[in-house]
Amino acid sequence: MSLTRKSLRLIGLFMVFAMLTALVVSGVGAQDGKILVTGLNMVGADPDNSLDPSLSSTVQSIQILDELYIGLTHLNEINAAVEPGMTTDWTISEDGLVYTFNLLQNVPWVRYNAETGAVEEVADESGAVRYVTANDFITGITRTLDPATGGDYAYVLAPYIVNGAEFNAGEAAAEDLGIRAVDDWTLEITAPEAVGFAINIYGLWMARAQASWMLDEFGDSWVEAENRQSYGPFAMKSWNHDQDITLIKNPFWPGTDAVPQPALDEVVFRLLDDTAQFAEYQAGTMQAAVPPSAEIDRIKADTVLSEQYYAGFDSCSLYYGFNWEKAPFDNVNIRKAFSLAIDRDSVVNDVTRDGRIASRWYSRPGITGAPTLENNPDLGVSFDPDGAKAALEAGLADLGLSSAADLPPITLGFGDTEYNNLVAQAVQQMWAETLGVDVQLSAMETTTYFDVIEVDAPQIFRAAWCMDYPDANNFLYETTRSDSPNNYTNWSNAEFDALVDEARVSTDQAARAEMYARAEEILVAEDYALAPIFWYVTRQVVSPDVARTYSAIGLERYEKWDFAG
Amino acid sequence: MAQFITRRFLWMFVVLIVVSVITFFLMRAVPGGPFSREKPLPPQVIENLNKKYRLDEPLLNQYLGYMGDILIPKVTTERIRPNVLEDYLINIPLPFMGEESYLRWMNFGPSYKARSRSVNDIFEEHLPVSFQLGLVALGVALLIGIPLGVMAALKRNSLYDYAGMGVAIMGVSVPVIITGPVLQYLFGVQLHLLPITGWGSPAHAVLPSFALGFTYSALIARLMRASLLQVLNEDYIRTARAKGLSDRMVIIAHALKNSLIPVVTVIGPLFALLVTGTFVTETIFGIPGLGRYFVTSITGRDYAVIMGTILLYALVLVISNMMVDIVYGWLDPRIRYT
Repeated sequence: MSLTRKSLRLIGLFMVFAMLTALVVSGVGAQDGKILVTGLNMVGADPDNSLDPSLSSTVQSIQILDELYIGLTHLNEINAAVEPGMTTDWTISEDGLVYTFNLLQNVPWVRYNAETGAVEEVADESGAVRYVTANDFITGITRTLDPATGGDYAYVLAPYIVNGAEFNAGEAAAEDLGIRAVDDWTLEITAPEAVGFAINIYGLWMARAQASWMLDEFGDSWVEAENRQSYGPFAMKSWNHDQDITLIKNPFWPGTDAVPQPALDEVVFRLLDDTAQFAEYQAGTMQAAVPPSAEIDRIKADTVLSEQYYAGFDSCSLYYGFNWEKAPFDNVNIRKAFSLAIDRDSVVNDVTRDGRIASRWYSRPGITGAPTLENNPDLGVSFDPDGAKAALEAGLADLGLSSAADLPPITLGFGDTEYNNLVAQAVQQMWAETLGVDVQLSAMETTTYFDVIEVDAPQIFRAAWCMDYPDANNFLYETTRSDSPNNYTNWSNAEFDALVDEARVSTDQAARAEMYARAEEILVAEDYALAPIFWYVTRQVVSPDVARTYSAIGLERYEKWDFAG
Repeated sequence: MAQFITRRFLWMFVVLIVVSVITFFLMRAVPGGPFSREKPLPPQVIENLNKKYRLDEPLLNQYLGYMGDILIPKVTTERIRPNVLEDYLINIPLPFMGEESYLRWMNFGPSYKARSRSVNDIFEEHLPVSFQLGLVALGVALLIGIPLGVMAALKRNSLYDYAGMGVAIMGVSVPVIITGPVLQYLFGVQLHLLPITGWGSPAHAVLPSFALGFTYSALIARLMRASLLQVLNEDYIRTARAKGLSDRMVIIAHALKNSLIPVVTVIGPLFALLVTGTFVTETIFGIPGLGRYFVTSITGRDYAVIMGTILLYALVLVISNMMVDIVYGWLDPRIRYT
């Protein structure tokens, strides 16, 4: 036959062959047991910094670490309350400086044995089972604070342990740290000052027990599934880099009220882009996924999918900061004008459209101490075009200018991502319409942008803060206080500083909430140091076959999930 | 021929050195570093990290240290606890020198982002995946492109030609970011025939290699068509026909080989491109390949990974160009190398 027809045939045959091979080979073996496949908090590739408690810093890593290693205290995901983790209880001394933790006894270190296909206890040379002891917590905390480890988040833990900051700076020795094993099951931590939320900090991922023998034997490769040892409700069965992480139920975890024995047998975390996750979810191969923002409209319009969609808590708060050292933002009325002219509802409803919450102040509602929309409905700022125009008039009068056209050129800087661009363009439009000011947009390469705002922020700059721990202190004291290295606005206010200083050490939660509310009022509605825009949410679709808990802290507790029915 | 190959290998060495110098000093000139974050790290932490990774030394020393770790083998006599700063590709035991003695060579450095992995680890785990995907995609591109191009050339200005070239234009114009999800939706979500994402079985390779290969098959089809048309107009083809040879013999025995030269020229760089990983395809199909590291290492300023991936790309490119030159010699005996 002719060459043409032969060529066509060839192509056709090839395609059919490929299909048949695929069909024959793709029969995935059915797996026994309750296996949940989830992509929540897993958008993107491998967790940064290797799922190592002393090095990890992202929500993605912490999600996995919280299943493998339980901390001294444990955060309840539904109400963000502090509960006992690896402890039965604890006592705090009169002066608030010494914390004594009574650990759970006889919780073994375990590892997954790929040959037997089961989780087994770790034994030492003599064959005796290794249990999690106070010394293991000391190993973990010391390693986190050790400057040689180079952990990103050591600075969160360091201020709350005597000599923690000094050791991390290389000025003290490990022996000087304020941690002591009274006996195998009792750990004592001494803080340099009495702070109400330290109990929260001691439960964070960087203060977990670590196995010194495992670190000695395997060095940097201890994180891999075949070497890793853990003790929490799940153990690591496998970790295929950039692909998936599989956790398997740890039958040796005793199960407490706060951290029960898991109902699921395995949880597979797939590390996929959100578009790919949603495709898998729709095909039924994943039970929990993060849908792409572009699909939200379609999901909400669909009768079936809209029931499965949930906008979960995300601790990040977005704002546009004003650099006080650059004209005209050294004038409070100009800042007020720019802040009041932003229609936040329009930004979240028309631009981002995936459930983000228009914010009235900076710190994220839902964390301890932060104001909430229920309790403080009138706090902070919101869209007020008339107020904005009046403020602009006042500001121009202050500066001795006759109209908006006489203002110096104004630049809004941000990292060059799709959403940053969209929001910036929308806000630029709002400023043009309400104030008659033409703001220049400056989209910079993201890593370069981070460097630039540290040193010399543009007049208006986009920034966001995500919590390190769920307390308003993290937002207001550690980023906006006048001496904070994260305060790029160069703003300072003595009353604000005094308020956050006092709230930091107070243990009266009601009083703290009042102080933080007052501090927010100063920050966004009196001094207008920054313009809050919105609070983030995490997009989730979860199958109705799954019986789940709804987390208010951004991390899911898979030991409480199950398949329905 | 042997002389030719030897000379090319020596030149390859020079090319790689030049590439390494330019890449190294260029990437250090860009603002930002591996430890730049939205939430800046305290200065002490950055100081500790710089010290750990020797980033506080003068640039030239860092470059020489980096190249020395790759090029200069060394002997170690004590057990090295596994750590990312000392991960060597080649470890040859030397029993005569002691129990824990090894000859170690080629340390490409650690990753600053994935702190428990070295560049060697990344290559070992992800390069084979990209290589397989790239090879199959190249196969798809050739298997579709060459017949399509031949057919279009033989039936010039007929329906076959227009249809074939129409498909080719579509292939070139529609990027993987569209064909990928469309294929996923059709075959994965609706028909449940093929896996949507992931890697591990031949079934996983079908959709991504097709999506990737289709784009390049268009390029090859057009090149094939143009080249074959030109060859068919040559005098010796007319002679062959005049001799009485069948059309088929003329094409297969005489025209095809010569018309492949432009196609082979393109295959060299295409091979290098596909085999080292393609970022978009791998992200869409959730394939754990090397392509992602080319992109994320630059935005993340992960210096050792940047150097590693770029040197790898340069190496593969140089080698595939050399192979292309050798294939020329086979295709057209008039081409001889001195």
